Amino acid sequence: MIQIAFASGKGGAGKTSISLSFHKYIGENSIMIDTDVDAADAFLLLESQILEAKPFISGWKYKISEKNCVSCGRCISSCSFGAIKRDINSRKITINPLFCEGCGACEDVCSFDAIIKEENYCGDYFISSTKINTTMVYAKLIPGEDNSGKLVHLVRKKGVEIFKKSIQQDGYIVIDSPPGIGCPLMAAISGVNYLAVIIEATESGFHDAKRVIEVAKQLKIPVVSIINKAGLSSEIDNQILLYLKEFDISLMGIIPFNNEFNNILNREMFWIDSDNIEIKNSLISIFDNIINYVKK
Amino acid sequence: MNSKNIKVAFSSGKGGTGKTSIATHFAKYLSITEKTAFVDLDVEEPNGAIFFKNRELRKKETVSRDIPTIDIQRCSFCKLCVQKCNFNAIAMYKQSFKFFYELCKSCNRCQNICPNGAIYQLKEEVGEIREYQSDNLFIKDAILKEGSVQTKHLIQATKKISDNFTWTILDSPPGTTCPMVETVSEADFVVLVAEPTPFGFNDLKLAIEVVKKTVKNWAIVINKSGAYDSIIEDFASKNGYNIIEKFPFDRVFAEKYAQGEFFYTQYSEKMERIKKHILEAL
Repeated sequence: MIQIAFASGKGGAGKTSISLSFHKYIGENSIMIDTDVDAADAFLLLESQILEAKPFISGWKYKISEKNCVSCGRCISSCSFGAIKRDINSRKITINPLFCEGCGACEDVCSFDAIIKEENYCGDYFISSTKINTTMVYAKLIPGEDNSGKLVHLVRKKGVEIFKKSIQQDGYIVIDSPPGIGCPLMAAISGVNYLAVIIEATESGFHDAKRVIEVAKQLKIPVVSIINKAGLSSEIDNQILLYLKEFDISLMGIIPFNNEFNNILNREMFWIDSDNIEIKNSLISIFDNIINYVKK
Repeated sequence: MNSKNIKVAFSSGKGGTGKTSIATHFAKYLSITEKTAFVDLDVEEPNGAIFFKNRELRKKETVSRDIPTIDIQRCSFCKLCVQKCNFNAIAMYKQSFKFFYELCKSCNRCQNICPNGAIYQLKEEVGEIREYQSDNLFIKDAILKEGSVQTKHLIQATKKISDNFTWTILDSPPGTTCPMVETVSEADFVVLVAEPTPFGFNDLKLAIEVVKKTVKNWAIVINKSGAYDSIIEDFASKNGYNIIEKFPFDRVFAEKYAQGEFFYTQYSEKMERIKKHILEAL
């Protein structure tokens, strides 16, 4: 089982499109996991049918019992997250679910049994069959919810279970990572065998990718690289190449900037199925390089 | 509404739609005539300041958060802290404790309920806030320490900013969770930057869900506009959502962006229209 995650730090660098194409290229000997639970997109292109959908419940949420609350306000100062507010006019106290972290500190200070504790429904996870006869696992966090790191863990765990049941030992788990370098990203890449970092060849894309590489280093994950949107600035392209050389990060290939990419997406096609031979070949060569690198 | 301090957040569910480039350009445009601050709240990947080449660093400050520890001499091993921690961040084995700080949310509940006053707080560094000046524009951003997962404290510290500005432009992190909510909840007006692709459209719908719950005034800007705008336009008109501006998909735009350069002069009319729309809405 080879777990390979595609990450970039910056959003819109091509993570989803490239990881989907890689998954399609490997085909039935792989499964796809979309760990961008904030904004899952891979299913839009890949899914054919949902096989299993289950709620994800994690942690707690607190509410005020209007019946019991005497509006004393002790809970307001107990909350470290500023989630509890009093309405100036009605004096009524409410907890804003968007800011409540579910710690329960309010419970401890309430003498009137006016704090209600509820299980926190954060979203759903899905196991689906795909248009290319593989399996994918993904999740949708309820917009505004927390706990994305835990949901990422769950999705990855489900992925490993399915892999063990249905895929040959030398197969792949292809992981599409969330943007950033915080909790969701760490949950998405920790313990993978390889991280394919997609460096968008722009100043900000390069800046962000370096931070992902730094996190991967801390987690001791081997990194390979792909440069996307190359050719916009030869200066940035060169800086990236120098950086990769200096830090001894293998380059799997370069994808030039091309207006065509968004059109391919809009036709609901995988990049690798593009009728543009240049695009298609650049991807195939990158994927072959990854496969060869992993075999070594 | 206090016209002296208008906070506008640029946000989107999907990354890479152009939040930062439009937000930086809007801030730059405003700063020519009005007192403006640009605040980058994408603390995981702060790259807004990059565009302001002549920026001068004025201030740097470390941000820490509270993490609990225990004075074992005062502890009666009642285990109340372990039982009450909803994040399972405290474990007790025989007469020793282990704190899992990556799970701890710094709620201070353990300290507050300890009957012996045995728990006290240490500081853990989560990142660094930076302030810059670039011509007339004040810039603030923060950078999460690599390996840290505590974005919330850093974002909250970063968004504290003086009311002296006529405009405060907030650049939001991508996604639809905590960090994004922290940003849009601060704003008087939210601009959702969307790109007309299936992924961009899907993530726009998610972002709208959050924004509707959080602020009264918001609108959509289409970036990388082209042949497929109708996927967003049809949806917006069906639901009565406002699309206030469009920026074309343009290689020159992308080249300038790649080098971290400004191109706002070409788009000053568009920036003016966005500004007018915001002022009218408020």
